[in-house]
Amino acid sequence: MTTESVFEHERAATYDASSIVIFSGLSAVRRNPSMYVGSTGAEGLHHLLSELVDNAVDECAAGHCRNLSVTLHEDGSCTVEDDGRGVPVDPHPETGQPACEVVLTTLHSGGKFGGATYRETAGLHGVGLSCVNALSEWLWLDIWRDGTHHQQRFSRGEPVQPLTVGGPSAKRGTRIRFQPDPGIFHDPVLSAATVERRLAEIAFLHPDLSVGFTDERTGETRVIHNTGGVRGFVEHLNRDETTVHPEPVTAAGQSAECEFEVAFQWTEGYAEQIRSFVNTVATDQGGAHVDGLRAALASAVTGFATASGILDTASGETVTTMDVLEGLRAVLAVRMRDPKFDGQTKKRLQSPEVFQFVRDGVHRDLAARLAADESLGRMVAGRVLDATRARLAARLAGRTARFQQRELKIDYDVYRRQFGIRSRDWHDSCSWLTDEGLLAAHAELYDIEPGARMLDVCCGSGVVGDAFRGKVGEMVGLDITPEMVKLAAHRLDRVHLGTVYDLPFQDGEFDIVVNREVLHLLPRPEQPLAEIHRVLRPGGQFVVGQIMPYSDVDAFWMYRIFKKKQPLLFQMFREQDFRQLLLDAGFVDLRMEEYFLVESIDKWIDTHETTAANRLEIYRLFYEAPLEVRQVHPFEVLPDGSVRDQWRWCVYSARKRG
Amino acid sequence: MTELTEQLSAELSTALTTEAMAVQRYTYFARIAEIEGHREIAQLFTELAETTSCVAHGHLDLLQPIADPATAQPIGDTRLNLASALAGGLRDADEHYPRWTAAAHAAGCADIASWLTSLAALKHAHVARINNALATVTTVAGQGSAPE
Repeated sequence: MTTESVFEHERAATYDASSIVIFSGLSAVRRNPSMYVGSTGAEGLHHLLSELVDNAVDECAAGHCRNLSVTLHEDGSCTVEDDGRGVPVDPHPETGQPACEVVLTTLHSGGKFGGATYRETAGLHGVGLSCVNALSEWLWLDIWRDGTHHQQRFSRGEPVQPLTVGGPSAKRGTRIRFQPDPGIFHDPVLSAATVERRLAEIAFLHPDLSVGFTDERTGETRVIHNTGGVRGFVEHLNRDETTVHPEPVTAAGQSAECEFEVAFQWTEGYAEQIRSFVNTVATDQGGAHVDGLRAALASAVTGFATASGILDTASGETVTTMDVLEGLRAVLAVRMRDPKFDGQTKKRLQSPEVFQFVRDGVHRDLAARLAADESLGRMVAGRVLDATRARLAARLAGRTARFQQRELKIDYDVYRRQFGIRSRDWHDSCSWLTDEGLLAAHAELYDIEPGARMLDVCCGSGVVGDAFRGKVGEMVGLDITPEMVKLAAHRLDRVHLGTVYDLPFQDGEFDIVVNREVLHLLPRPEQPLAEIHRVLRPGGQFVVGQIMPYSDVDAFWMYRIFKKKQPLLFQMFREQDFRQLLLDAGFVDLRMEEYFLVESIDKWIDTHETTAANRLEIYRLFYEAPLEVRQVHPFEVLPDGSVRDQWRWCVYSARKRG
Repeated sequence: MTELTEQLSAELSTALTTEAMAVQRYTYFARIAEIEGHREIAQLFTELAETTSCVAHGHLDLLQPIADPATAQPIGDTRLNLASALAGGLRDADEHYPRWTAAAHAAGCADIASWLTSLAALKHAHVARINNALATVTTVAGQGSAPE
């Protein structure tokens, strides 16, 4: 934001005990922590730190603080220090306690209610510090203010000693060290990556602020000072991306009530990523400002494409908003008075007036930019049309993959096309593909004589077969996609191009067949299973792994997610369905091992077969998962809106009758 | 209240189905509008859905003295409602979804059959929960009449 900004603060006249307003008591926080910090998982834990950091950021935005530092200690505690004005220490007019003690022990107390002290604030309006204190096993407070060093210690929200006055000091600022209460948080370990990411964001949004980060657990220490603003932020996000046009585009707007800055750039990736902030707090679920941005981008780009004849409306090409947003990376920062949010944790901005303000501002700037720079317009419009055509093709794939009951007609091209494209970055497309524990879970089931002849069927890159190296003899692979056959040839001895519906092998040719996460994509899976059974020798072993729901209650929900991710899904097996399928195929001696693996949904759905709209719908399915589903299926929504799902892998060993 | 003719109660039952479906259609459309960034349209659909839901309940107010339009079972107090929910759940789990699953298979739509199968499983789980709830309600003294 510019220094001439309308929100440049009249330096707050007084910030002392009289500006701290008290509302009510604190024990409710420990009774029901999720209500105050969102959860007792990673999200809530990191929320504690955000509270402290946001307070320092507010001091910075008010022009009183230039340095912020965060230290993660070896004992699991964390220190946040700033060189702001220091929390007031004089006796509060109502209670006579020092103001800092009131702030730390009283819910809804703080300097952000009175109006004069801060104009726009990031912190949670007073729920902040006291919540952190209530949910900490212990908390040490150090304040340097008016030439004196003050100290106080707390335990689970209660002071364990009164505020002490130390020696004189020229220093100024606040330091808080806290230990998240292990009785509240089930895994009270702060993640360096999450913390660093948040600090980097803050540094981009506050070019005047120098942010120190130290992780004593690893010895890492660094100072982040980003002067690039939102534009630098976008360049940072896109540092490893192939971009459609060389420079991010920027737009800005200013009114008496609100101002915004945005930078955006299209990439060749699939996912839309808009990082949005209101008074520097991340609004992970977007809201009015983000909707305004998206609406403006869609109208400006389609307007340009239509006017310049790139979009052929006569041939029925209709570009949707989702097409325009595919591969977009944007950073949007709004500053405003009295923003209205959905709920306490500020994930989504309400304030409807911001929609039009951002939309009109972005449309004006982008339309002017496209009119002046036709090559930029052509690059962006070309990218959007690619997305439109890919979407139409994906819809077609969903239709051609149908088959008839009597004669099984499978359009193998659909599979070849899909997995051919994905072969380019196959191992990066999700975590489970190369997860060593999961591969080992398959290999550990091996229980026939050493040196067996193995077939890895629908082998992909051949990693599953490769996991059996050292146990088996000859390693043979088979896949439908030529690109995958090439990939697998680096790992397996011999790889055939062919289909599992009609294996090009003799009866009983193999001692062991291995397969992972394929049968759910195949219509009539009993036919491939019959083929696998056929090529096994009597007594031979079949090892197969599949992702399964946890119970009958989450199966339908997983079906919706997996079908939106992968239109080729033909069945969401339940454990008992899959077991029966193996038994019906004639297999015996079934054994099953479970393996739980946490998968980043963000990465998993960032593929070409998942349309942009489906990606967003998948997030909504997680965010709004029914309670019944949450009770049986563990997953986590991180503070930035990303999702980590715990998958239940069932790995089976079965034998052909000897 | 005036007694409903059979004809009129059948019409009201159809009206309930229509409105209940409209609630689902509107909330679904609202979700899409929200994802596409059409805030005001999302709000419109959400408001329509909320009102329509209230309308659907109004139809149920009228039909309730006769019978549950979905199961033809008497409804009213919680014990009766649970019993009717149980009857409906059982029919969905054991009759409807298996039949629809078979139809999907016959049409060659394995993916849809899998979807319907997962729902039969869900319905069975719901039946079990309703059944447990029913057992607690009938054993609490003073809660409705004794089970017949």
